[in-house]
Amino acid sequence: MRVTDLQLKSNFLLQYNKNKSALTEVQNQLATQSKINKPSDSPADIAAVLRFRNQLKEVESFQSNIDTSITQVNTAINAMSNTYDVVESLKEQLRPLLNSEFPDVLYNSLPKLIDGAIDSILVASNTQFDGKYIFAGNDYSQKPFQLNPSTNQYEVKSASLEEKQLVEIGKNIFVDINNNGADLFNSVFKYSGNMNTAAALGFATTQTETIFGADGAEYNFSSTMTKTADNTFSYSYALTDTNGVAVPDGSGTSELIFDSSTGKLSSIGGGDPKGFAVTVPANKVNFRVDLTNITQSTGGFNMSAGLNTEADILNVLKSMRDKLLAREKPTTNQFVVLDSFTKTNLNEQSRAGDIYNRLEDAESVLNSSELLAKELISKKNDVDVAKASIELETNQYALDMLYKISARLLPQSLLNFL
Amino acid sequence: MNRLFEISRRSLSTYQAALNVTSHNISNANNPYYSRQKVSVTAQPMEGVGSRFQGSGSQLGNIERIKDTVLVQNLQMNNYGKSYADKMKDNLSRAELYFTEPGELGLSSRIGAFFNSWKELSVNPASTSARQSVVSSSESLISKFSEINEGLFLQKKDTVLEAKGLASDVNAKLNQIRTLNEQIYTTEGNGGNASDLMDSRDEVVNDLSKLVNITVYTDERNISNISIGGVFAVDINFVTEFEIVEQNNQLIYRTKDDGSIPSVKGGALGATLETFNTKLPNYKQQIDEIAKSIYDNVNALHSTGYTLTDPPATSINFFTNYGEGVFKLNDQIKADVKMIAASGNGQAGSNTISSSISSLRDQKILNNSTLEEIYGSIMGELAGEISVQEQDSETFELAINQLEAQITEKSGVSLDEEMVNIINFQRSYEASARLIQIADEMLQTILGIMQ
Repeated sequence: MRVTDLQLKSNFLLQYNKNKSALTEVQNQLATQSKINKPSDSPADIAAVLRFRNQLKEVESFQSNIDTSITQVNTAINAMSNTYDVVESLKEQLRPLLNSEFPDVLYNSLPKLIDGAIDSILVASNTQFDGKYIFAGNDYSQKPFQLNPSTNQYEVKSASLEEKQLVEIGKNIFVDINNNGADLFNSVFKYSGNMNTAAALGFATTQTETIFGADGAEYNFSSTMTKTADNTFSYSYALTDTNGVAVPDGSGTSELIFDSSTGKLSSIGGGDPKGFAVTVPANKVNFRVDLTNITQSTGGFNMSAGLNTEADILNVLKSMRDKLLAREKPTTNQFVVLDSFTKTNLNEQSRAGDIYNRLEDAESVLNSSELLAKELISKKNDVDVAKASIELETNQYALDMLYKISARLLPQSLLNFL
Repeated sequence: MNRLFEISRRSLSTYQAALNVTSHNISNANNPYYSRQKVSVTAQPMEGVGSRFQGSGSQLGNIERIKDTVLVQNLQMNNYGKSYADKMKDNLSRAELYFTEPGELGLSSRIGAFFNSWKELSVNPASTSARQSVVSSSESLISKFSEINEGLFLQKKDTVLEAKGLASDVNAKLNQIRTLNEQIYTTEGNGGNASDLMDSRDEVVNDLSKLVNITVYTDERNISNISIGGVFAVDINFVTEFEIVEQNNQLIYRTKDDGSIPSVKGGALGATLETFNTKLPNYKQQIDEIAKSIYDNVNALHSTGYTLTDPPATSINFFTNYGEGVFKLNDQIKADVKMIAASGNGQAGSNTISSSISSLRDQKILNNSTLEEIYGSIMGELAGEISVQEQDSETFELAINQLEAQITEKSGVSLDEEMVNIINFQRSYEASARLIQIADEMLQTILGIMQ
């Protein structure tokens, strides 16, 4: 075999280039601490790396949602807890009024206390977090609870107290993080049940309940749903006093239309399908009818309805204050409303606590997912520093050897010996 | 006595010529295209001296050019394979840069950030900062699509210039080959040695084989006849001029005279044409599909939502001005983030639309796959192609190194070997000179007797 000088030179350059490129690759990996600096570094892994990185970002996004939600839920719990304490304390202060005899001075001192309580409850019911009224459902346009100067009654200004604030805390996992402001601070006559699709025309169901005016006066609220056509019911209600006399402006009718495909209520009188307010200022009656939870399906008929509290807390307190200023004793029914309020408040706090726990559980799961995604990315992408360092040493050693051998062989020829 | 002088003179000339060839070899020892020349010293024909025939000294035989044409042809085939793989790898690697993956600046991260911003807006749909974040992530996404499109567009433009440059290079090399064919024919026709001209032609043909796939046939006159992709390119008399034309968004390589289209499958030109005609449009189309899918699906949901303005507006598109993978954020939204329609019913707190838009990320909205899956497969495909070209290049390089080693083994100059020849020829030259000296002494002896 002939060995020419060009062969020696070419061999040296070939080996040198191979060695240098291997050295550069390891050096690059060590410098960036990353095996995949561009997709072609690992075609088999790039899709997985992109997926894991996005997964990680998505987890971070869920974590951010949870952090915000936890803070909101905490804010709601604080607001509810404050109102609970305020009303409980007020109840203690008002308790002497239940006795037949009580110091006359209370007529002067208690209205101020009640005013303070009303202010506290008003502030709590209009609590804002991150620019939104947390007890206003999805309507953040104005304070949900305000005094109407013309009627001198507290009214619900928000059109969507029942709306849920759904937050995604995991892939397709949504949590309703808000408390229903109507349940907490308003009186709500809430229906729950199912109308049978196959029910005959003329089928009717009636629900009745005793409600209070803010001044403690009792009324009978009776409502009837009658099937008038497929997917259509007539809804009528009437308020009567304890003598069975109809309350003026205390009755109404409307048309309920169900969506035949979803089975949900699609409109009430052509409008909002969630419910409507029943307000009779003359009788200080102010409550809301909530039809959110009725459906129509072939699953058979069942229907129930009930009140969370017999009257809304703000107007009852205002009435109690007005009575005291007029040197009248608050009624027993008004005390009943205070008890109902604190009971509902505790239930809602308990519900918020459940949401809080659920958010914390989800956060813990997400933390594990985050760790897992990081581990997976690390396995695919991170450089094994020890291995890379050894490779670097080996390549460096091989390059040194190449230099040494080539330095000996390349300059030599017969000329050196002549 | 005269005969002795004549034999010595011939011998001196022979070895001087042999030394010339050796020195030519030595001076070309580092020329990779040089084929070593081998000189042979042969005996002069016998001459009649009186009644006998006697030897009449030495003469220079053929100067043989040592070259294995089969190996050279194999090398040319591997050349255009390697050039194709190298060029394609370079072109695809350039395209790969526009995607800036994997990293925060990549399209993947920006698509993820876009949908995450909608997800975060769902927590507080009325939040100005969350809305601003949606606008920022959208602008970032749009700019990335635009960047990729711009990059691929510029690369296509550069590819046209590159293809024209390569075509012009091919034409220049074909003209060089025709001229060298002619010079070789003339030199050999005049009894000269055309070895160096053939080496020069081999060098040009070798370079040509890196540009485009060629077929070379060298006839008995040592004329190289070359065709490119089945179309005649050059011989001793004619040379075909080729050109690049752009028709229907395709680059066509064809002859200038009759428009014949060679089948260009290899070399840098083959890779450049395929990059323009197939590769870049393929990736652009796939990215455009993702852009269009985001544009259509987001707009379809957004236009059903309600803005945060008073009164709430509906039927507002989130993106506008779509055209070939590039689109804009609605100017109304850019001017006022309240124009983002996150609400499903006009209430500020409703997050129906923002939730639906964020969940597009997990829906199979394009070719029965999620956007993430589609994009991942595009990146996998691009990276895979680059990797294949890298492997092909390495494979061809191994073959080329092997062939070059074999060619060099046969044709390359060994300085040691040439040194041995020099010593050998020098000694023979010295012996011939000594012979003249001896003949001179013999003549002096005879002249002395005569005096």
